Amino acid sequence: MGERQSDGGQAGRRRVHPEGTVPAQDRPAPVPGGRPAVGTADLETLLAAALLRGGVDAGAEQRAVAAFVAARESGAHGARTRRRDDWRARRRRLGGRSLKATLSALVAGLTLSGVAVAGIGVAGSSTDGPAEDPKSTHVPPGTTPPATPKSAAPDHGSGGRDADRPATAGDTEAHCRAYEKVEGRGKALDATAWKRLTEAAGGASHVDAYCAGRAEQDGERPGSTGAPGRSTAVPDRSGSGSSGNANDAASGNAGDAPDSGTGGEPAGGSGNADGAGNAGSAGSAGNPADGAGNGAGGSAGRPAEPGGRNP
Amino acid sequence: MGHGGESRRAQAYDGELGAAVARAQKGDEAAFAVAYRLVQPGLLGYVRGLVGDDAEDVMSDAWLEIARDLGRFKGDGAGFRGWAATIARHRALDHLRRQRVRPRASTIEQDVLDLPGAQSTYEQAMEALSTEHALELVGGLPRDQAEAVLLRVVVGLDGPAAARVLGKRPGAVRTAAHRGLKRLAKQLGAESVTDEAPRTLGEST
Repeated sequence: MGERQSDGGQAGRRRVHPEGTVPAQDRPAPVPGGRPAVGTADLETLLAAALLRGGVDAGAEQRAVAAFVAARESGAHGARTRRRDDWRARRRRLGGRSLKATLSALVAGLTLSGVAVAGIGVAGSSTDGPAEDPKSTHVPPGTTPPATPKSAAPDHGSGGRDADRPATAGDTEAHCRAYEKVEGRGKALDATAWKRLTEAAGGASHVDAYCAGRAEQDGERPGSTGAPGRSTAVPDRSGSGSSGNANDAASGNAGDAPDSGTGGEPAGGSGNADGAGNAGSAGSAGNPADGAGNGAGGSAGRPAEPGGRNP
Repeated sequence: MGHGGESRRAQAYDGELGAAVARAQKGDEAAFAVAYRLVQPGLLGYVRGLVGDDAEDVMSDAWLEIARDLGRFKGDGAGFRGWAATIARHRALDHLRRQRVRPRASTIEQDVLDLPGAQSTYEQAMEALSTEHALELVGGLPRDQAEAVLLRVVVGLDGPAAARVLGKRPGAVRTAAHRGLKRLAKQLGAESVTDEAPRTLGEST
């Protein structure tokens, strides 16, 4: 960063060196114009020599030391360190940097998660609507089975909405099919859709039986991929309406749950507790997860529907 | 300038200074005297650039505060330099605030007239750079440039420490120091031949 300064007529002529390197030719040297140039490195040395000249005044030093002793005797040196007294440079620099990084990460995270949640909501509603509307009209509100205690998921923003929203047969079938695929791995079973399925079944240990019951009524449906071996077990219930069956199966299982006495309710509770772990995103993710479930179910089972259903 | 030159002198003492400060914090007054002798010249030069002839008094006040608050300080030798410079600066600014109603008597004109204007060679000009002349040159800079130059060159602080003392961003302080030094170099180069040195002496823009 040295500089060679020449006369006014050539003021634009300058040489800037990278920081920290002061080449030898940057030292002052006679310039053709007859005027000497001043190197900044020399200038610093010069200034320091000029301004640091002179020794320490002994009297002033004695006064300072006396003040130090007085402060020591009065116990002032035990005072707490304030922020401006902490000059441990390394720690501060790190802290400043990490604070900046933390803030930018926070802002970026909020932005991206907002976009993601909004996007999921849009996708979920588009998938949800057509699959659900025709059937949900058959089911009066409030017929969903009693939910497990709300305290299991205190932060669940969509709990009340889930209770009001009737479970549809399509949802249940799709969930049952997907349940068998994902059971035991991943966190998919924590999602709201699974929580709803577990509630409908009356507990985690009843989900298999509940799904079997659902599969029975779908047994006559050709091409049904869900629950092989169960699909033809009890064909006599297949004649009734799908929504009616949904309620029958749900309430029946829910009623059975307390009697089973094999830990069904505790299991259901734990299932819901797992769902609560997801509660951070459940407020808006409930429907999207539902929609995803529908989407998966639709791809698996819908092709067979036009022929076999809607009596 | 850059990272190398500005604080090489200071860094040579920082180990000793840090040890002295650590012992002083445990109550050793002899160590405090050592720290005083190591730091006082630089701080005095810096404060002199701010308040002129009253620098001794201002530093006297500053050392009272330093002596009182030494127990609060945390850091090494270089940190102590910055911490003490912050205290000295606050005392100097207080002093300037009190003095605003009656500006200090200026000896600028006389000093400028005493410049080695007739010098014909660079070496003579440089050798003739007295403390007073250097102070007047620095005092002719805008305040931010003067302070940045003094903290760097005289007190021996590095960029981040000087920025903390001044309460500014390191980049701004680096730029100010660079501009200040450039301007000083230009003035010195011009003065050695002609008397047409910029005489915008004062303490602010």
